[in-house]
Amino acid sequence: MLLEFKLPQVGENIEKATVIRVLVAEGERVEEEQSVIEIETDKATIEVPSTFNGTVLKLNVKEGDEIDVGGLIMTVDDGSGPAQPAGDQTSGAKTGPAQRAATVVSIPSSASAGLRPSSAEAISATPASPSARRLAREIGVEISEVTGTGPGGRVTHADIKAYARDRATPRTAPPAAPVEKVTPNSAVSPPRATPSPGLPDFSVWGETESVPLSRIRQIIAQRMSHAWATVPHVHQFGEADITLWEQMRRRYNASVEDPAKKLTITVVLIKALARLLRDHPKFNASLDQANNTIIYKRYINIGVAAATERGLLVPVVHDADGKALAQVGAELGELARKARDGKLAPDEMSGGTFTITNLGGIGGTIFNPIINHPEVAILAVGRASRWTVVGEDGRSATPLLLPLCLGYDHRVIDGAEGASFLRDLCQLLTNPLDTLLEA
Amino acid sequence: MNDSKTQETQVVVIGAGPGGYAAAFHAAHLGLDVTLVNDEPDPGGVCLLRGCIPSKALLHVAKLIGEAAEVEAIGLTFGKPQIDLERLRNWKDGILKKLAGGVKQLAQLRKVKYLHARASFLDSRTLKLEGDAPERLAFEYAVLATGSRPVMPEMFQTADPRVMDSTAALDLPDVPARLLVIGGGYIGLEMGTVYQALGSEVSVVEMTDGLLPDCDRDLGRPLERRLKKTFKAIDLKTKVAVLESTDEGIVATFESEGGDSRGTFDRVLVSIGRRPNSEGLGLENTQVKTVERGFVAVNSQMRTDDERIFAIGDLAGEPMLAHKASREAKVAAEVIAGQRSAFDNVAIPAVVFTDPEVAWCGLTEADAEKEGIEIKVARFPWTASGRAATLGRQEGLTKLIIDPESERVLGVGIVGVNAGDLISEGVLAVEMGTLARDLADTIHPHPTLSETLMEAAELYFGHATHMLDTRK
Repeated sequence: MLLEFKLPQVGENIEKATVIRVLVAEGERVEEEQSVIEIETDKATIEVPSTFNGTVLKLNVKEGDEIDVGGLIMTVDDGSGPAQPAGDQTSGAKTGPAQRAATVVSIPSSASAGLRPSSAEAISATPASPSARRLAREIGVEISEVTGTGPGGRVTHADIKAYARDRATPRTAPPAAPVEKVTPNSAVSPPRATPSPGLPDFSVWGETESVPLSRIRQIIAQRMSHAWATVPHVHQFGEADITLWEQMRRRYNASVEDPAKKLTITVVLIKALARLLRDHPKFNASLDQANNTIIYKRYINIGVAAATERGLLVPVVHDADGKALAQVGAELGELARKARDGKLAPDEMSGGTFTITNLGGIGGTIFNPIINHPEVAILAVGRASRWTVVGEDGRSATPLLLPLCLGYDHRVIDGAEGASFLRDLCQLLTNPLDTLLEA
Repeated sequence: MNDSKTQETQVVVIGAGPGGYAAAFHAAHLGLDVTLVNDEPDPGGVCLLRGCIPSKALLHVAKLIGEAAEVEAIGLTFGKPQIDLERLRNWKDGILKKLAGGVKQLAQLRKVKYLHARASFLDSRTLKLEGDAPERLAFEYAVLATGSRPVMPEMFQTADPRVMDSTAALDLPDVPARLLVIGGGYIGLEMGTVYQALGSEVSVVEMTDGLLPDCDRDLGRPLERRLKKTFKAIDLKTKVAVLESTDEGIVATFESEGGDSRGTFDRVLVSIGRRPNSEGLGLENTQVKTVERGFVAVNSQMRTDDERIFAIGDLAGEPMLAHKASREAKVAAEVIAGQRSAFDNVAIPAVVFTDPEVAWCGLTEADAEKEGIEIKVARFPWTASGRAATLGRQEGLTKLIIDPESERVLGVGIVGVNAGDLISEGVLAVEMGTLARDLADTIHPHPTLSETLMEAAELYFGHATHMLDTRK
């Protein structure tokens, strides 16, 4: 039997991708889960695994092609043949084609729970031609969410495609309201939102080379400009005494052989932040300025900025508050490995509520991070060093101090709140027990 | 399990009516290995063998007889028709045979294996077959398309062949002098029309206060008016309490607000509804669930609660219409083949093939009122249609149900000759979300009855070429 393998919905906001590598050839055998093509999307490069076993009869894509979600990648012969009884396949209950379809089309899973709508409901639903409705289903668009531009609000093919495109690219937010007040602890002047003027001809002064930006670089550029231009950043600095943590960490790591399982300061910070964000929900929120609303998230997903060959990626540790230190460590290790190998799935890079960026391993003291919009706060981490500190009793000590910079969105968070947050974080880090006592 | 008594198939379709064979053919077209199991030798189901097709053959005859009588008024006299019942029956049966043979042939050409057997589930992956070998059929996916059968309440159940259901009536055993039709739905009215044309004196009793309870009253009225002339009696809000077999005939006792009465008839047709065939299929050995009245619960992919078993057609719910089954069949086949298909049609046309025909689709006025949907209605009476005048049939009406905000056509209703064919444009309009303006500005051929759709749309905007809305 011939099976068509189409580009599945690879991520929430992805409707189209560029094929950067084709990993199978016509006539070759593919197994389920085997990577078929590598695609580059707005967010990442992803290897797309086959959902069939069989022989590749025809490949419909080549490197450099743009492919839409639902676009045909290849035709596979599963070897069962139309006239031949299904044989072994009948026992492979988990991979029937109908089940695959069920996972991508939004339908109630229980039939008796979801009887079809009455005719009156169906008629007053979104007007669209049957072929438009089919298109929407095939590319995974919920047609009721599409605004129809046709007569009487009818949803056209063009509307559905435009909706899918818009979903795939980040929306441009309305320009930020002018910021009148500059708080004392703001370390930077408000950024200018004016576009850059035309560039001079650099080759006048010597040899140049123009290299096109990769898709990821373009997206980073776009997002950073947007965040910097629209979010009024405040940066608050602090130092955490991590002497005790460092002792515990070293002792623990000495007993661990697998380098992936060693406890890093980033893991400790994730746990401490997860703990703290529960008491400071504003830092775990987003601003919906168009509706004058703050959206508080009841989940704590910490993103960790990772430099990779392909560009900056932010894998996310989901529900960090409910996980033990060792589990967070293991997950972060796995995410970092996937980030390096270019195998992060889109949902492993989405849903973040707060971001950590740690450049301490490279050097420098501390830096001003740019908020990962639409989050409202970010923690920059520098390189820890020992300082001689004279206490109130006049005695000196040499604690290990970790320089931190909390960046936050002044539209949502005021200076006093920012200062308190960073103070609480530093206190929490000083005494490891405080972080460890609660899950 | 690979013994000679067990065969395997990717897809088994149970029932070879207009849903079942459409599902089998479409699945085969999509490259699946398909077995079609049917509990009677010929494919076609109720539609082809005991419903749509034979009734339409007989209604064609009824129409010829009716028209021949009517044209006397315009100066064309044919004389009283001579009816050779046996030839008529053979002609009708010949049509069924030819069409059933065609379906069988199409199955062969598509390499769909046709088995004449009764099927029941042993479990969610295996069917027991009684009839043609093999005894067991293992499948990956099953499509249930076992259809429905006429309801015959216990009180009317008798060994007397003079009390018939629609199946028996379509066999045309004779032309009774006096026929009682119990139930004023479309089946009763269609069969009543046939027998009346063949010479029976037809009486209809209906429990509710109108014929064709599902359609809007203004569409039912022209039909009622005509039937009142051709039928002997139409008694609404009347129940049949008892049917008694006597040598004189079947004696019926009626109950109505005015009191009880009795009548004697040579034959009685019981047409009070249909019931899904969900019993005896071994559904209890699967995860399939049934809901009220015995319908099998399905989602918009036609999937039952058992993820490898699908159900379509009459079995899967109202309306019990062949064309709904065929569309559902395609959805089920596509889903099984891994496509993202769903039954999301907004308009399922209903057609009553009486004289005049009644047809409607989409939203009805009654539904709109019940659901609190604001609508505007544009009615174009056929008294203003030139084509209707040339046919001598101006009792018809074409109406559009329109959303006043978007001016979308939400529903269409037509009563009149050929309404069943005319409704298709309305179905397309509703399905496409067409605006009244689109219908009004589309050129319709003159002189045809289809112009009434255009003129109804024009009326929505105040005036049509052949009619002025004087209310404005």
